Amino acid sequence: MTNPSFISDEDLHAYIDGELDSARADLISAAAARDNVLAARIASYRADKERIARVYGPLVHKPLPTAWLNTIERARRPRTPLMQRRGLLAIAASAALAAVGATSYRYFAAPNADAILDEALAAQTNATLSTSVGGPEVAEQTLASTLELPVKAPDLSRLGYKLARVNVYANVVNGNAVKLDYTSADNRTVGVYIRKSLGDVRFDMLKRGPTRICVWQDDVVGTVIMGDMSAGEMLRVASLAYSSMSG
Amino acid sequence: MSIKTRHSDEFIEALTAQLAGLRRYATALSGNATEADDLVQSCIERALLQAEQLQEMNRFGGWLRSILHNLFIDEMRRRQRQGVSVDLADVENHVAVISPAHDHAAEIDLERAMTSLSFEHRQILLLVGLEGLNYREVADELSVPMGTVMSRLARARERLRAAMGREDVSS
Repeated sequence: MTNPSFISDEDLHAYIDGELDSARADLISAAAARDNVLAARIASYRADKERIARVYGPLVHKPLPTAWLNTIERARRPRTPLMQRRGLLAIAASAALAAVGATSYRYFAAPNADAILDEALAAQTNATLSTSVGGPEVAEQTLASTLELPVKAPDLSRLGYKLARVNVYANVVNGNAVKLDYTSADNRTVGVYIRKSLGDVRFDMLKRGPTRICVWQDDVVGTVIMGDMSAGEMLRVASLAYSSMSG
Repeated sequence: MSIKTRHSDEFIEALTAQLAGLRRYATALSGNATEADDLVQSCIERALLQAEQLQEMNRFGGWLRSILHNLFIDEMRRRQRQGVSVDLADVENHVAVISPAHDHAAEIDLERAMTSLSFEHRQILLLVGLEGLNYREVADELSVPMGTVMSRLARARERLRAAMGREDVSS
């Protein structure tokens, strides 16, 4: 070890980790600029640190055993009907309040003539304008370029869903739409269909066959979430999607 | 194992959200995917049983890792008593699954080197290098002074390089 005498090993590693104050960090940067051996030493420690992240980092994407999720789910405190209703009202209220100038919203309705829902369901079978595979960055770029809306891609990872595909649909009413497909480790899927608002502020939960559907719309964004899941899980997905889109 | 205590949605969702990261950490710490899964399974069960000990929800990850550390140390002690050693073939098989082919040998070197380090050195390398904790967070999680974090990390990195058979570039 041949650090210059004024640099301890502890300081050197604190420098590598960005833990030094700027004055001390500048001192080490200047020393490294003059001393090739010191610069190489810093680079090699940095490389080791990055290698740890590179080797172990991808493990986070390994599918989780269903048994773990079942063990945890069995320990969930049962929700009473009153609690469920209150939870639903809270989500409905938050969705409605977020809409600027919202004056009313529907709650737990299953409308017959339903433009945004019909459009989202049709999108399941229609040809897409484009499909890409990618993470949140791709989704956000697509949302921004396709819809020109100030929304983030929903992050559903807390509930075990990972973004798998970004689909763009052309020629829907008033422009284009984006559907984000998420999958879980145990192959459950959630589709989040996002488009510009069609106008009416609403929050609906309904079921079509095995598919649970949540529709919410404020005066900026219209969203339809679809997946084969319980009402409770759909509420959690909708709540997380809503908060992460606007957050 | 039967968990009779029931928990709030907040606790259940926080626990679920931590699982993938906890498993990654356990795999890196133990160097063995099967052992890591056993550790995480035990960690889940203990967390559900000891939920009332969690003081702050925003420290959920650290609380789970503390449980995992205790379980891992218990397991290491049990193995020491029984004279069981780590099979490096397991490490290589594990790396073969997770590493890109182009740098495979280097990744195996890293895993072998990590496995040869003490628990404390592996732990601090992973908390900083994999979990991305800052020194203050590491100090809080391990209940040690900041100075100890800094000196332990410096030693751990030097020993990692030595275990990978690399000369210090300054020597």
